[in-house]
Amino acid sequence: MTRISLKESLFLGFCAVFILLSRAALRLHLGISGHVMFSTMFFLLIARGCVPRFFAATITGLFAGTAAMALGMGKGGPLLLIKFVLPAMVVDIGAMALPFMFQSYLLCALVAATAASTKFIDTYVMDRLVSMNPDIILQHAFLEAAPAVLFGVAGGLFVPPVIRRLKSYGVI
Amino acid sequence: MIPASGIYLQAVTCPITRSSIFTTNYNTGDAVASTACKRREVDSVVRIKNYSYAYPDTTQFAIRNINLDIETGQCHCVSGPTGSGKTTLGLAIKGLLPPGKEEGRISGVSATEDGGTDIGIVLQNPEIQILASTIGAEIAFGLENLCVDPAAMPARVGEALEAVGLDRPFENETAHLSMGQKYRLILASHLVMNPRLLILDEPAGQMDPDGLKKLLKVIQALKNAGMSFLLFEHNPEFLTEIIDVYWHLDSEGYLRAGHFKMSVYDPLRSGSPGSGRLGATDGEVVSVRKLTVSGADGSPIFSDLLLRVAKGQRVTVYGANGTGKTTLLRCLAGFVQASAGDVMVFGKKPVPRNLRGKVGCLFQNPQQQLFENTVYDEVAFPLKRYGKRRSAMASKVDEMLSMCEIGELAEFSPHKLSYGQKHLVALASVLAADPELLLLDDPFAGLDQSRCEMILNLLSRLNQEKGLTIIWACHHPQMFSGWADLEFLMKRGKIFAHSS
Repeated sequence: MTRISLKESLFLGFCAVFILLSRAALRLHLGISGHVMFSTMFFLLIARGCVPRFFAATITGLFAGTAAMALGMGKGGPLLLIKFVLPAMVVDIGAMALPFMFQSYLLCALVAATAASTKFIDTYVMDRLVSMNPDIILQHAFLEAAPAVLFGVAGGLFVPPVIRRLKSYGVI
Repeated sequence: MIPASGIYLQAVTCPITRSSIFTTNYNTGDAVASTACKRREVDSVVRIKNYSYAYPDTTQFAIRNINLDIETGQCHCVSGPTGSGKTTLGLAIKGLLPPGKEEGRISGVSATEDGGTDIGIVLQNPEIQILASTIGAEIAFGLENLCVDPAAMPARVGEALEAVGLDRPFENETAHLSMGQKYRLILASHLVMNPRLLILDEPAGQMDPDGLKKLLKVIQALKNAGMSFLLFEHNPEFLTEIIDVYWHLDSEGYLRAGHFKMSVYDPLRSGSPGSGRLGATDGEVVSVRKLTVSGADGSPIFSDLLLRVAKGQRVTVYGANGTGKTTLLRCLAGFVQASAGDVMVFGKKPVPRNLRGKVGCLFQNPQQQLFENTVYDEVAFPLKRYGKRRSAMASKVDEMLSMCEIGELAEFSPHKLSYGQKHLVALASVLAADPELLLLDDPFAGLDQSRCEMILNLLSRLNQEKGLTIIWACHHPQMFSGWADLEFLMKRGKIFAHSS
């Protein structure tokens, strides 16, 4: 495999920055849990769709997670990294298993839903660490993951037209 | 910089020894002193051996089995149909192609002793090469990269501007230049770096006859000094004096030995659709009275313009680069506000929203009006906007694609086509809306002779059958002399008219 180019590295860095910026900008008190998953899934999928490397989304998630941790965004401390890296890994695995997913709305939605559902794992792990009741943990994790999946799917559905446009302009 | 006698002397660095020893008269094109430059030998600047290239995501080679040897001081000219791969060949020599399937090799250009650039390329669309916001900064950019002493830069920048006929202050903004002036600017920014080989993509497509005459002298002088040139040009008749070798790149991408053939299209020849004309009919489409439009600095681009165009008339507006042809067309389309005077289009002041569907505009840089993902979608876009049904839209798009002979490009991205092909796509998109008035800003740029004839015939037919009114801006007056009902010349901020 060839080394990652400067253009690709910059692109992944920009995607990570946009994830963080959108998280900061979208901290709206809507009372709807998981709405940041919209932009997170969108930029993770765009990163993988534009940089055809197995680890592209994971790197983006790692960048974003590390920066979020350093900037003190969220309540998880070092565990914040999991919130970014887990869905990113699912995106990478999805893109590897489904090479033409970025042309398909359905496949993008499916992968986005799967990646967003990792919110369940994040919440479950965090709640376990604070020794919550197992029944409540499951209910809480489900309540957190369900809207995240919906927002993630919405973010995923925006990816194919953007990828098509970038390809037609010769950007990727 | 130019003495009163008109003799312009400039030191030109010898591309071989890289020492400033030539004193060249750009006005006469003669090397007036060549004392110290000893050519080591007549060596190859670029040697291309069995080179083929296919763009990424395609298996078909864009250029095939290219063999080309450009020697020091030679000028080669490659012509060929629109989209045959001329620009691809230029980009391959410059090493700017994206990684794709490659065979054969390109060699011969070595690093220069003073860190000068080896190969310069001036692309067909100069806007994509402009980096700086002012003229001086744009030309000095290359010198900065070559670590030239800042104190020496103003003189060299001024000389380069003078050589290409762009006599403007350094602080003028690049954004306010016309396309032809931008082409000259990019040409100057390459000349100032003394490349060993300069590749010019369609110079006649963007430069007016006066500019080409200046270019001819500059090339002649630099050839004498040992610089080599590779021209990609559909109409090399303006540059025959300096061309040493002709090549023809065919539609399959094969480069063959060529020859110069003067081909002049006669739009009035018997049987040509251009021979018939509708002429003026009842109804005034455009009425311009005492029109003045000022530039960003407040000085008038043109003033007191008078123009009347009746329905069904063909009008051509000629003029040198930067005389205001594009501004006039933009003013008629409602994109530019008049500083003084009246402009009426279809009896009303031009407002883009109100002219939608009635006026079609083809910009000089077609990239500015292409935005869809495929050529088909691009042509279908105006029809979608007007709420055409899917079946009617499909047949109309197919008709437009076949009329403009770009049916085979329907599924291609319009952004990756050649400059000429983009013009055809933009024209098809504009015509799809069935406009009553068509404003064309140099639509022949980047098109070969047969495509130019095709466009002229197509427009003539639409003029006769549908009463289409056409206003056409162009910088080569002789290109279709006799085709128009009215011909105008824009010069020094004024318009001069005569009926053909």
